[in-house]
Amino acid sequence: MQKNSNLRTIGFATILGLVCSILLTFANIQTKPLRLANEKAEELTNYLFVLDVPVSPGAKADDLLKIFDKSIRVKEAGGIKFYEYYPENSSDDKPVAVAVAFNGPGLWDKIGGVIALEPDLKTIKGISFYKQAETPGLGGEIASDWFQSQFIGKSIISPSGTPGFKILKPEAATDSNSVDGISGATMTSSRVEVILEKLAGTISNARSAYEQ
Amino acid sequence: MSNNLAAGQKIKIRDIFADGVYRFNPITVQVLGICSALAVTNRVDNAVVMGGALIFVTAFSSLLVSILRKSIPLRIRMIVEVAIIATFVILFDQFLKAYAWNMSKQLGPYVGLIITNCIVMGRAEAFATQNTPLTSMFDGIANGIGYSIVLILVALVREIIGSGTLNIFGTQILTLLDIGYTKNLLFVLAPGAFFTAGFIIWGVNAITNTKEDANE
Amino acid sequence: MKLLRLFFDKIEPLFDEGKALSLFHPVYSMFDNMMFSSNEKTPNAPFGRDPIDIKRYMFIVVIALTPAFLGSLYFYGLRILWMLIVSYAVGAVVEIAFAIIRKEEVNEGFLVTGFIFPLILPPGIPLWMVAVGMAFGVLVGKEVFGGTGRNIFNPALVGRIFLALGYPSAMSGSWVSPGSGSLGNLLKNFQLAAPDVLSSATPLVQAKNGIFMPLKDLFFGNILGSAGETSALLIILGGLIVLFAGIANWRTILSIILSFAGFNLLLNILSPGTANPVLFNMLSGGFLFGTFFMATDPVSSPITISAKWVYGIFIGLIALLIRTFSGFVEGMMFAILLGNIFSPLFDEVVIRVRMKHYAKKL
Repeated sequence: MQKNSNLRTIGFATILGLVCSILLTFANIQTKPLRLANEKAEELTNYLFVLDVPVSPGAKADDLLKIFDKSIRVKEAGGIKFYEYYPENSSDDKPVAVAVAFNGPGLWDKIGGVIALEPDLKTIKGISFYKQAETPGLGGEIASDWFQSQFIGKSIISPSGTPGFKILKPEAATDSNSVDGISGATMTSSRVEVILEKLAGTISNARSAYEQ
Repeated sequence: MSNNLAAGQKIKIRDIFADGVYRFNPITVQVLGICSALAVTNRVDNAVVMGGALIFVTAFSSLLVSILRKSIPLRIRMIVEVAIIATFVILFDQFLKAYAWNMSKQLGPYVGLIITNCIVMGRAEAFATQNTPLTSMFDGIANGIGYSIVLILVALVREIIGSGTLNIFGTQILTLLDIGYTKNLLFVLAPGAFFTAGFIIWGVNAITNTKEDANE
Repeated sequence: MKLLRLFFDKIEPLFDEGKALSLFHPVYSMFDNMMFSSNEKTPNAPFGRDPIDIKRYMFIVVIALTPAFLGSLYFYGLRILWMLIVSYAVGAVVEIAFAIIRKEEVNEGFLVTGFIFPLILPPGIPLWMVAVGMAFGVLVGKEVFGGTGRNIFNPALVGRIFLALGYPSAMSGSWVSPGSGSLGNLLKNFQLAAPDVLSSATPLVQAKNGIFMPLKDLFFGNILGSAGETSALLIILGGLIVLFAGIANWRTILSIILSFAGFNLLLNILSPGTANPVLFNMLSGGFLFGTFFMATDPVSSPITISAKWVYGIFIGLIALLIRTFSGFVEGMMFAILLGNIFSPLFDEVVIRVRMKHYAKKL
């Protein structure tokens, strides 16, 4: 058979294709459970992080999934998924904290995050903006520790009792439902405010359904 | 691509490495593979893994192409080369996703994009199709090393200027943030690599030109 | 003067080829040229058609910038002087280093670049940033392209953009309240460190929030802003000097102003409320300073007359678009850099069109 005949070309391509695909399929099957666990753990880590669930720093995906399964219960109420945290050794049947995911438009791209609240669904225990593409160094500061830690202890209910949250000018926040904005990043700050304002509303609406 | 090694000739391994790493360095001389050099050099860790991935892929794809070089039908030569390269790239990508998830996330799509990296294809097409398997594999490794060295250099500059720190696989080696340095975001982002790589190429060319002038 | 000449003549042989100090010949000839005028002719652009040479030309720009500089001393204190010294020192070091490496003469270009640079920076930024910005500007904005006369971009602007993108929080939050009264801040702020009270609320930032400073303050300079950009009055004063000395081309200036104001007016009529008021926009930020001193840079702006008009219209439009529709509050520096990138193209098109025209006539 000639080296460049049609038959030989097709045969060569078929065999090569077969060998490559068998190799890749095999590799895919071998690594699939590990990859899926990694992906799942990635998503759940954000909940574990805001809920302040103790996690050892070098924890593997499997460990994270185990911790999540043990200590987090998902409850759906009023159209929202609530991730409730029950510490492992406590006999209390009330959750320590509840987490809710949120997202909305930022300045350049979608902002996504998770907020953790006390079981009363009013006081903030922690917040994480883990998915964002704001201007690095300005709006991108929403993902920084100093910005996120401001939220701890604040409330999503204004002193007058209406749900809402404000991002004010830098060093202007004094109310229980407001934090300092980022200097030089007014546009991002105002968009985050819109997202949180909306979130405060939805959570408040779902509160009665949740408490039942 | 430019190559002073004629096909079929007996080739010294030392020459192969000198060519791949310095004389015909894929980035500074041939200016190939710039896309990933700009994208993944924000941290030294990323550059090391990316360099490793490229060494792995060029080495084995060159080896395999060279083994098959006499039986590959001419008409589908390029397609066969791409298929072989793609197989190795996907293997590496899956390995990262399974065993080094965080690194895989850091590198994002750039591991997969090694398939389109001109260095790999260039070595397979220009060298492996005309040389013996072992020589081709060394050539692949040499070019991979040449690429990695530049990547790591760029990443060193970017991580120090950009983040003000130097962490290599979890160990902090240097931090400038304590002495009042501010992170330079231009260097955290891809433009920093553009300037750094530009300066490295400028420097290498200046040295090479001076040497050539001296030789004349 | 004669003695000095004698001294220079006497030490000159020391710098000759093969002598101990031959490496520093550029340094020698720089001082020689500064004290006495050069009798050499310039082989590269920018060319002058009259007795004016690069040096005198640069000198006039420095004089024209003086009102804005003195204003910045009055508004923000002696700190601006430190910034100027740092800027000059770094610029000179880079320039001289390259002159030595390339065995060329030191160019006077950095006299203007070094003077403009501190004036377009926030008055409260750390001095080391001034140094880094200046070094980057001269290196990447000029030396990479082969030195004065060959640069595509305005070096001072390259330095400023490097800082703005590299250290955005320092660059957008280091504004200092201007002093007022008979002495202003003239006797204050002479420490090297940044002043304690820094702010980020420049008039353009405030405008995004719907607060507009009175035009009177914008005109006289009672606002936050880059050191030399605050007072429109002082900039126009200096602008008139470069304009009437024939150094800045009036076509560039006029077309930028007309385009910026025209499109702004158009936008305000078509969709009221999207853009800031015309006069406010023109007096705030770096618009006037950029128009008079940066866009008109003879090296990085187009050469042909028609291209100058296109260049000006382009800059005015882009500056307005960035200010109005982007996440950045100020678009002038990006607009000028974009204009710099396109100016060879504008020239090219103009020349081709003209060639075709002549070809038809023949």
